[in-house]
Amino acid sequence: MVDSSRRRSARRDVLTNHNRCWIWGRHVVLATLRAARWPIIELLIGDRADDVLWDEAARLANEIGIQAIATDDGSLTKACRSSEHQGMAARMAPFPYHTLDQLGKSLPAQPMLVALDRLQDPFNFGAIVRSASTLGLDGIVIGEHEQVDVNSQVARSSAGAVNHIPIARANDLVAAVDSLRERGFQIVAASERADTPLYQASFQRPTVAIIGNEGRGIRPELLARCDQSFSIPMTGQVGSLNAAVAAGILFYEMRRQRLTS
Amino acid sequence: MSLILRNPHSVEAVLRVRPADVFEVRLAPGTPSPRWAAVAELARQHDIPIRTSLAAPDRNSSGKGKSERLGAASATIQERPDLLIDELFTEEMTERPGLWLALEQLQDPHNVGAIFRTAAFFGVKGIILTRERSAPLSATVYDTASGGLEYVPFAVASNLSRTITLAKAAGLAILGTSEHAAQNLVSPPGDRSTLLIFGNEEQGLRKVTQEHCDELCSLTPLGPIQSLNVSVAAGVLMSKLAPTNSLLNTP
Repeated sequence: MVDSSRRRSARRDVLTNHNRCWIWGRHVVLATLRAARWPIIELLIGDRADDVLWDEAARLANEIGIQAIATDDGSLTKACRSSEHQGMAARMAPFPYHTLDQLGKSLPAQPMLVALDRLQDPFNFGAIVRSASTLGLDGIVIGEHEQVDVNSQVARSSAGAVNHIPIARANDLVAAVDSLRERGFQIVAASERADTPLYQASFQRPTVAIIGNEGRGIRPELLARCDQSFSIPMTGQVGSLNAAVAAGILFYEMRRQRLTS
Repeated sequence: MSLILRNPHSVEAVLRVRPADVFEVRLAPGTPSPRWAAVAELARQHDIPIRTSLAAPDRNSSGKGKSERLGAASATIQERPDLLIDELFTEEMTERPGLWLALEQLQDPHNVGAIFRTAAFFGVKGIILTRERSAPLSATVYDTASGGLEYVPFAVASNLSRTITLAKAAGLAILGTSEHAAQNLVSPPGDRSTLLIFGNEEQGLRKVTQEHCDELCSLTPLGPIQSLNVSVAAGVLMSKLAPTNSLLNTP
């Protein structure tokens, strides 16, 4: 018993204590080095890296004032606890979230944001970050409570996009949404229960789209603040959409309306 | 072959579509979650054994951690048999406009499962998967599909050449997806049936497959990340191309 509880607490450290958060895999680590935003404490390069990769990594590391450390693949696997590191891993400082004010200052005219209400699956969170970045949204807002943090899994499933789109974390998501509303944003909700189809919604104004928890949806206090709710029309007989897929369809429509207006 | 499923939604779908293929349901001691309680009730109606005192067998002892995202309850089921490719393009199937998917060497079981889930939602008529270098239809695929595998007929092929030949003969337009395609947005489907083909997560569609497509399209990549996750891209395209959808409300 003692043993298993110790193991469990060790695992929890990995996911929540950012001082021990590792990211790994060439694509994600290089994207993070290039973006030079999320501070890297330690950069490890394994034997499998060829000269080109070494030079690139050393140059990028030098630019941000850290050293690339040569090691063997076994030590890399041990450090990041995964064998899928492709010869690169980095130990990360806490993720540099924006504040809501910082996000507000970085926005273009007619911005499009997405607020995530208590998203729990890191794969969904990462995929949503990737879609939001690819489809040209201007930022992501999350709350502090019951919300998965930007961790290794999120960074990986975002394919490095956590470096490219501002992610603001607010202590209280409801208050954050209120404040965005006061700044002239319309608040819209993607909800399975809504009657209005997505394609009748208009995203021409500055918009915050809210996506809810995988199981429980959007909490009532937030839903009450929405100017409109809509659903993605089902054309099959059964089922529901995964949160990340629903978000992708929503972002695409938001983008499409802006491009064709 | 039997599979151990841990998502109550995927188990419930098997119980509704082919209850005879559910061998047993295992619940953790204590009160089950509402979803599993519903599964247990369905299982009871079909006289399927329900065990509560046994620990669930390890589905995949090396797949560390994945199953922790779901509860301790599980069910053992028979896998769903695949169809012949021909059976997906019969006259009856192709009589009215519809959407079919082909997945070429997709390797991530979560992507395959997510695509099945979305396909069920949009009423996709059939999915063709490749056999080599592709994620097998494992329990992870069933669970990620959240029941989608029970509602979308599928076939497995060694490559897509015969699939494309059969689809063309049945009057379908063949639409490939590629990051590098010049055409960003998909042309309106009109009332024609479509076979939409997705390639491997890293390499995309094979050249020989691209050559047989009537059209190639990409999804406008605007940010610094090259493309969308394939299951998200598939979702966007299905939402655009599923015929009833376009008649109802796509502008």
